[in-house]
Amino acid sequence: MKSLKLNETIVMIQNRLKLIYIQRPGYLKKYAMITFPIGGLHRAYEKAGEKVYFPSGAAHFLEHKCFEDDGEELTAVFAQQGANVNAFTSQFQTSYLFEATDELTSNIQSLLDLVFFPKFTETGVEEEKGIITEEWASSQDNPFYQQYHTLLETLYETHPFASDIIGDEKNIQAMDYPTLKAIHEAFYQPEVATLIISGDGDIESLVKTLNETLVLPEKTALNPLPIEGALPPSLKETKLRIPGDVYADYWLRGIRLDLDFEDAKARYAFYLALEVGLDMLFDRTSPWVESMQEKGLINDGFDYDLTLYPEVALVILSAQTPDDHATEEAFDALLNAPGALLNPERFETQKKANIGAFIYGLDSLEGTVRNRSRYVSDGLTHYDLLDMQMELTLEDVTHALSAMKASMRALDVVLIPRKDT
Amino acid sequence: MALDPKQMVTYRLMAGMLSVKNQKYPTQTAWNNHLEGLYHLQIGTSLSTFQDRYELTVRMRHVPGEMVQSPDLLDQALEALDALVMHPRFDEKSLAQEKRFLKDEWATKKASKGFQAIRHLTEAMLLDHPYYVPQVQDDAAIDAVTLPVIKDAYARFMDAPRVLIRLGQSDPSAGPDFLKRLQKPTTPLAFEPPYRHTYKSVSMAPVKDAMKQTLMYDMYETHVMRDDEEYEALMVFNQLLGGDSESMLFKTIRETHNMAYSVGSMLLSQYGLLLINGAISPANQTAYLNEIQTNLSALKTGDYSDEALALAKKSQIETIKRNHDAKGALTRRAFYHVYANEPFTKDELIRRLGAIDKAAITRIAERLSPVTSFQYGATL
Repeated sequence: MKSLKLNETIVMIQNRLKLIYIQRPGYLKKYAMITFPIGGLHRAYEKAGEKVYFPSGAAHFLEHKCFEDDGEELTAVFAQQGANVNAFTSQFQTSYLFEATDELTSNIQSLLDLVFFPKFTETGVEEEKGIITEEWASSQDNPFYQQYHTLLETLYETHPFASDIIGDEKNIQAMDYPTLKAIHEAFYQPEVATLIISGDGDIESLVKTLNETLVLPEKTALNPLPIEGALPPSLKETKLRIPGDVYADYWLRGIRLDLDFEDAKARYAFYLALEVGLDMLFDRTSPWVESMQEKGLINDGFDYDLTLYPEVALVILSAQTPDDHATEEAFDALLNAPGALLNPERFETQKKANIGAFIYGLDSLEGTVRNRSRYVSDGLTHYDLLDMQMELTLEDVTHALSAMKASMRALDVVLIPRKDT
Repeated sequence: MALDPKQMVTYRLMAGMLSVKNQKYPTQTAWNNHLEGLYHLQIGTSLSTFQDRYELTVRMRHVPGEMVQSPDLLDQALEALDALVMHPRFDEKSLAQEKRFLKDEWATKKASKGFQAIRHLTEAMLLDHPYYVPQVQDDAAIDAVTLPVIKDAYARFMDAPRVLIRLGQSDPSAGPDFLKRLQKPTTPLAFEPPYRHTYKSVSMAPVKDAMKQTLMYDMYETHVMRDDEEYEALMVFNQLLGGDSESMLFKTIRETHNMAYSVGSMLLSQYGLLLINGAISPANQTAYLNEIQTNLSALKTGDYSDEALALAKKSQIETIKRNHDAKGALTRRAFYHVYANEPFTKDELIRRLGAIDKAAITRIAERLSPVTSFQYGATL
């Protein structure tokens, strides 16, 4: 196979900020994203040897406030420079990004200024509460969100993963300026950030300008602390039925995996093996899926998802089904005896499919940057993962599925029409 | 001529059946295994509308053969396209399954509050518009479709005017020989000028639902269609009013008054309408509506800064420039080039957008007439 690696340059700006520039000749657009290792799951920083806790929703609140410039919105600066700026907070990270066709250097400088020297105010923090409360309220009006949230709350109960990234109404109202300022100081340090840019541009000139003119924040006395939280050893419930404004039954199974890995590489090797295993059981080529559809137990919206981080390992299956009991039984039976689904021929087909999916991901600048960003904190690239994937054996896949079965704690949450209760 | 809702259901079912299997690959797993073996070949169908016509799109995406040392990959991909288009497998079992899938899809859509709100709004305002077709109907409409009806629809599909668009770096002369074997359409591809509907102002009662927020919809007739001289001015007007985070609605309703997380405006160009929508707490309804009126008045009188106008024009132009690298936008441009003779390159559009001044914005604001105001969800 031809090398799929794109031409990239990695430099340290002022020996403090890591910059990865992915060259994409012929593209008009430039896409840039800077990522900090703070997400919804982070709840503490260290100050003078003491652990200081902060409430859920803080990372997301801070993301909103970094756009304030002493009462004004910084988005206008980007718009004037022809850029469209945005940001997002996940459970594990916060990222700020823009896309533009021109003025790359100016936009990068504005982006770095926004994240390293935010100028939000006490008044601004108070005013933002209304906006974020409306954001929270819109999720409360979505029955599928409620179902997902119930699943996480029950599976993770005592762990931060049980909470919403936005927090709840109480957390939002209680947020204050000093808390956000301290979190910013602790977590928004150049040494832990990664800036990734993709497009057709002059990297040498950009690096020279940033090295000569960029002002970075001074080192701080506050230190970020990793995600912590105890997983409940057992589940209080294994099945819940919740009513909502829906017109059919929707089954959601969460499978919490309590696993330990030697290092990041071992974790990703397991992730890749389990992902291929789930694909072989549940993707569009699966005879089991076709048979379940023919029996009328699931439809073409059946879906599955794998999340695997050091702190959280979760498989989610979702289906609209007229009979959740039969669907659960069929799923359990498949997991107990996947048999013919895990054959060498299907395994080789899956490898080809994964190469194709990887190549599609190279088409867009956004996809390229996000994929490149995903494994940076573990010192890996998505190319490394592709290589690891190509080295996988069918035994690795079988082993991963067995490990999932051995360690899983499963919960079914069925969303049912309200009138049925 | 108007869009027939029954045909929408028929074409949706037919499009689903085309995607799932065919005579060459007679089961779902055989077909999908074949596609995955071709390096995750993406191929499928979708149904949309353009004016008063249904538009069935067959879309295929393949990796370049040279990247995976598979020089005949394009030929294999085209064979798969041929199997989907030319060798359908229509049978009672597949139809029954597609019917169930479509009923399930409609049930899921109905669970969305936003969808319910838009459904109320469009059924009140657009039911007699020839370009409108309801996205969800009664299940009886699905039950009414039979296999002969599907086969008739397929015959019409094969006889319909068609457009082939290829995007990418593969050899343009390579390939789609099977298209030459298709029967020649009996009608040419041609569209009438856009239909101009006359809207009556309608008072809609709020619909109460157990929600935390109220979904607000304010609809205006623009009296400007896509082929009008002033369409570019309407684009800038919309950008200035509620197009993005620099717009007047976003700045006032969200940033100044903190009443909403999402608020904005959009053009429903086919219908000659502009829609303002936001999600707010019920207590803020009056203040929200007042802000809309204040902003519309400012656009009429020119009471906004030159910088705001310059920014709106720049945002519009930059979006067009960025779309140069977007597959979906480029494909759509190509369709509009064929359907409505719009230029594929956007230099002239960018020039025209750059020339819009305050007087043009005022003319748009003065022509705007309210059609309805509708609230869905929480009430005080």
